[in-house]
Amino acid sequence: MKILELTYLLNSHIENKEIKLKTRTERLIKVLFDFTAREDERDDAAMDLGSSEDEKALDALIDIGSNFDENETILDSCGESIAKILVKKNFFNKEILNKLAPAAKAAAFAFLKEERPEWLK
Amino acid sequence: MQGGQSLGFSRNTSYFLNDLITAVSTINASGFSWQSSRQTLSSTASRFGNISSKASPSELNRFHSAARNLSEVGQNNIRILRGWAKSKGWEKLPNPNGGPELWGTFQNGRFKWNLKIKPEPSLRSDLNSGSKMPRFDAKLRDGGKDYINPFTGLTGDENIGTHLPLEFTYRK
Repeated sequence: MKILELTYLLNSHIENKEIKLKTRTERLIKVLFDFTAREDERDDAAMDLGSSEDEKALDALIDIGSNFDENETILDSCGESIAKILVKKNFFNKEILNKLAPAAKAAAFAFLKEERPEWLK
Repeated sequence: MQGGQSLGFSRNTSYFLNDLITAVSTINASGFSWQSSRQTLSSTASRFGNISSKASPSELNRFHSAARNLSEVGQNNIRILRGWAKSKGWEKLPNPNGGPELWGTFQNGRFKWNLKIKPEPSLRSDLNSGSKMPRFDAKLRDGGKDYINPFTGLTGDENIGTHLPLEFTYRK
């Protein structure tokens, strides 16, 4: 077998092993924080993290969602996913929302207005 | 400068190019099952009738290129989705960077999306399988229960209306 093929197989093996070692949430967080990833890829990661119950997902979404320089589409998805997680956990903390960038905050409030209006009174 | 503007086009020309690919790809399309798609198609085709020859592939941004590479089913589905979004009164957000195409409404100066068209499949192994194909997301309003598949009319949580494949023949 040629050296190039062997190298490719070895790299694929290492990559597959790394993937298996990471949880689904960790893999999505990796994409969300990868600023070389395309907008649609990071947006999908932000959206999908909303269905995670992992605390790491919430932390990552808050981290990106409070970056005022972030892309608005990503911020919107982060805000909505943050709200989804809070609803799932049945836990409301206004301080979390207050630190978010305007687009993320608006998306989170819009979601909560529909799902948990009593939290916003 | 971004997208079409970096290629020397004005902002309006960039937006115009954004619509062009679909018009070109659907002029010869047939088999539409949705009347409003035909109407939208004919109006778009008449708007863009002779201009397709002026835009070379190198002048198209990422979104246009990805949309152009879709199958006929995928391109027709984009047409149908755009017609559906227009019928709802939603606006298309300018997309000079060639990112996902967003349709929605402006409320209190802030854009709220209802439809996202993402024609580029992702090759990233870290993303879920739904991201690895041309896809779209749709919702009627905010909250977690009003996502929709406009082709089937089904509504529900995000499993109903996110990461829906573009290159798929939907049946009601």
